[in-house]
Amino acid sequence: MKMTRKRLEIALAYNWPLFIGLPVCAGLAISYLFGVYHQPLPYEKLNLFVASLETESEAICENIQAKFADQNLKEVSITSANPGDAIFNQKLKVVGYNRADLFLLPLSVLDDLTPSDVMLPFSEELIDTYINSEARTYYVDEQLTFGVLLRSRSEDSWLDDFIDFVAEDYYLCINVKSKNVADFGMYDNAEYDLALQTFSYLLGGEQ
Amino acid sequence: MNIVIEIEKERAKYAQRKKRYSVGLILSAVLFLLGAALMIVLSPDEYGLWQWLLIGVATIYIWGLIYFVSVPYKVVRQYEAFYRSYTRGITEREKLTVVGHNTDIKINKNGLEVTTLKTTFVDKNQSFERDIYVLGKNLSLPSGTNINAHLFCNVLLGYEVLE
Repeated sequence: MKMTRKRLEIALAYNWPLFIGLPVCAGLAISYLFGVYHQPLPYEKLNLFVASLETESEAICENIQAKFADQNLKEVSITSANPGDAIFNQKLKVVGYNRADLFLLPLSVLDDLTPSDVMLPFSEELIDTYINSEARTYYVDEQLTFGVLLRSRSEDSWLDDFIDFVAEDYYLCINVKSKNVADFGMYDNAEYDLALQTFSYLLGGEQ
Repeated sequence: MNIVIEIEKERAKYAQRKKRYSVGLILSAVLFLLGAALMIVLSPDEYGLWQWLLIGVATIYIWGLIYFVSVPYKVVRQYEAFYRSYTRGITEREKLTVVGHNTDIKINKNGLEVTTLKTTFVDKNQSFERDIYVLGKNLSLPSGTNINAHLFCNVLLGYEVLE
């Protein structure tokens, strides 16, 4: 075994692609595995669908994330669409219905929808727990409450700093398929209510 | 007959070493994968540092693995294959006259580390040169010695000194 150096030179001459390629592949695999393992669980992330002219997504996401960081909220994302766009309805129904936890929609959009398809009807318990006691205006369809007035067209809101609202009344609605609405929605997971806490936060403002 | 290589003993030695190396390889791979999995599972949410640490460790492990497989493990495999094939291969006996011994170590086509014994042999009243391989340097055959060599793959396994 005195020719180790010579053998190493031979090995390097033949196997140099392995010396480079395998660590690169391993690095990519490790990076992927870390990403998959640390991917936020459905009840650790939140998506808001906002119908607006323009949204400062990063700023509002950071704001919400900072507020609920201690409650294990790991990811906040915004899906924003202009209600004037031709593909708005498609985006709402494909992306919003499937991904969003909360909807910030103007009245005209709500009137064009069938809220019972995807919106969570507000129960007394939900209203008592997550909507503060002051008098509120609700969006009611077929005697069920599906939304609460978030911003009146005639009043300013703290959300104006982040969202360029269309000049209409805006309602805040909840997706019935959200996994963050405790046991009010389709899933029975009482301890995960980040969407409802965010719902309260958006209604109450930065206090 | 002077024995240069004790085939059975060497074969057993390299077979055992190959087995030990194979077990070591598998064990190291299992330990590495377990360690990597533990690092991923136990890493905090801010895992950037852990990720780069694991990539660094994996790179060093992979380089070590390639080196091990292509140098020490390969040597053991080649020696073991040489001794194993002796039982199935064709050995030859040849009358040779020693001319000299070049003690520089070379790697022959079987992957063995050998020195070269320069010899001549006579065929049909004509003398021809023949270089044969010797495993190791310790062979004291003075120039001009006639030997009856026992060879396998042109490697000297044993010899008889002729008068």
